[in-house]
Amino acid sequence: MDDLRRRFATLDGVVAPDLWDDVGRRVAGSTTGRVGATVRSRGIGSRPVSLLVALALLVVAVAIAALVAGSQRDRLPAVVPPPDDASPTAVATIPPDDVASTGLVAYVVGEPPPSDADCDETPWRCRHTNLWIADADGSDARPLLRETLDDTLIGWTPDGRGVVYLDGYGAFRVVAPDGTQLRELGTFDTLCDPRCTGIQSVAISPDGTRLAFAATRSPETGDTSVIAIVDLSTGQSTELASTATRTDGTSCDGAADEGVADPPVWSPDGTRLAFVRQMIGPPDDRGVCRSALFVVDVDGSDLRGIVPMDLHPLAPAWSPDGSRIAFHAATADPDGASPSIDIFSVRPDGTDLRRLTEDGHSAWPRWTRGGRLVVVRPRGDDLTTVDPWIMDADGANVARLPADDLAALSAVGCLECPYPSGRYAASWQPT
Amino acid sequence: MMDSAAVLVDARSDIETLYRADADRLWRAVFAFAGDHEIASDAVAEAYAQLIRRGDGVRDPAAWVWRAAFRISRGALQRARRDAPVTGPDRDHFDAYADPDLLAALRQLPDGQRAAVVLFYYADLPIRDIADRLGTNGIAVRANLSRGRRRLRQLLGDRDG
Repeated sequence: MDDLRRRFATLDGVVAPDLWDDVGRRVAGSTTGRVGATVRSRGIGSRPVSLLVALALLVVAVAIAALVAGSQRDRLPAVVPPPDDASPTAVATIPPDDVASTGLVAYVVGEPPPSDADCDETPWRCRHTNLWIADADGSDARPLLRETLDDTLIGWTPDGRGVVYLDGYGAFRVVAPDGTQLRELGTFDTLCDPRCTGIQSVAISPDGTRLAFAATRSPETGDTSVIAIVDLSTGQSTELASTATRTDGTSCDGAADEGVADPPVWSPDGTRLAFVRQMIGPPDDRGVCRSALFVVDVDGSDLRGIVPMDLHPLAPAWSPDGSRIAFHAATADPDGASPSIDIFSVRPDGTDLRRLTEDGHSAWPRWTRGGRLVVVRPRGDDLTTVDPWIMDADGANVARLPADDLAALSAVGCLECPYPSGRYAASWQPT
Repeated sequence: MMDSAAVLVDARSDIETLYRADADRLWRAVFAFAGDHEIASDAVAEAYAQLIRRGDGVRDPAAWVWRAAFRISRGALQRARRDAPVTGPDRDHFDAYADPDLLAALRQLPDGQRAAVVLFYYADLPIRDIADRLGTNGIAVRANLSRGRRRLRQLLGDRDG
């Protein structure tokens, strides 16, 4: 046992209080939190006054939330509904105008950890993922890397010569299809300044010269979420000032909670980024934190939210010609009950918002080479198993694709599609 | 209303079993994270209360309650910092039991690093579970864990060599 683990084990000697009666009182609504009293004793006011203020704020917040939600719902009828033939069919029909994907496919496979893995000292070695590569028809599948090190697939370089991945040590690397290491693009420490507490992923620009990523920082050090771009030839990092937020994204209690950015996505022409910001306050009328879909120029100018926040947009994807952005969104059922997940698309300027599905379980849209969409849907009532489905760009001609069939996904022109098992995204080589 | 009440009673019985098995460990983890036994008690009690109120709508109650307790304690810490600077760890409570130097060193880490380190070294959770319970992803956890571990070892004199 190392020294840190031994020191943490001393915590087991601390006697924890029995709070079960306190839990019961809270459920019955007869008590308020002790933390509130603690904070007040360090700061302002007496409890009755604070409670009245809190009650008044709550009433105002609820009223504002209802007004905001109501006004945004009023805008939703402008969404173009799905076409009449959007009901799913069971068998895939691949129209002749699809452009099949050829070349190679990189994907992630779950594997057991190495036998000598020390899960205490090298925990990343105990997450069982590795990169594999196969021909587009599914043949000649083989490991891309010799070591199993919890590798995360980012995608192909735009020239198709290498696969970008995040290794288990926090370095973004490029490896050739034959397993030769080509270059290191950067690490957490080189891409992000010392205030950084993490970056989620990187996106390589269409011309291969820049990386874009979302970085988070601790609240103590200033901005807590920002989109940044790194020039790969100089290492120069540029933060898009217009994308910075100053809350930590752990709650969305108030209007000041600006949310935390997800990794950005490059437009096909490399001039703009699309990204989602989650955990925006105040919560909607279902008590759910809002999210917003933004488009911003790569110089940080012209930041704009392009869909109503009560759509809760996630997972944006630019169409190959850059004319539309598809995303999935959590919308309320008509009776206001549980949310449903459906596919939408919108022009990058925020016009022509279209709802493409209304089955309530479609998610994670990705464009094919021919401009159709591949999405995932749960298999029957088993929400943990998903299948790929394909549809036209307007939501018509929905059909289920064979599960775990690389050749079928290549045939419909996948660029990035769920494989295997819908758990990870496979990436097709640019041609 | 009857259905909701029945669900609440059933859920409460199951959750008390979970509480008896897991709440002490959760409390100590939140205490190590927050450095304040009142924040830890409030966060754990409120997390379990919220779990009961949600009835059977929570798929994984054990994971959910940890996530809620850390979220609540983090919010309480931020409010405490905003209203009045926290001068130091809750030494009166832990001096007799735990490692005061460790808890004092933990206080010097940013929230994200401290949470990752506590959940890894004390709660003994794998990276993906830590990410799930902190509402972040594995990459951010690994970065926070790496930096937090390095900083802790500096602060504690690097006894691991």
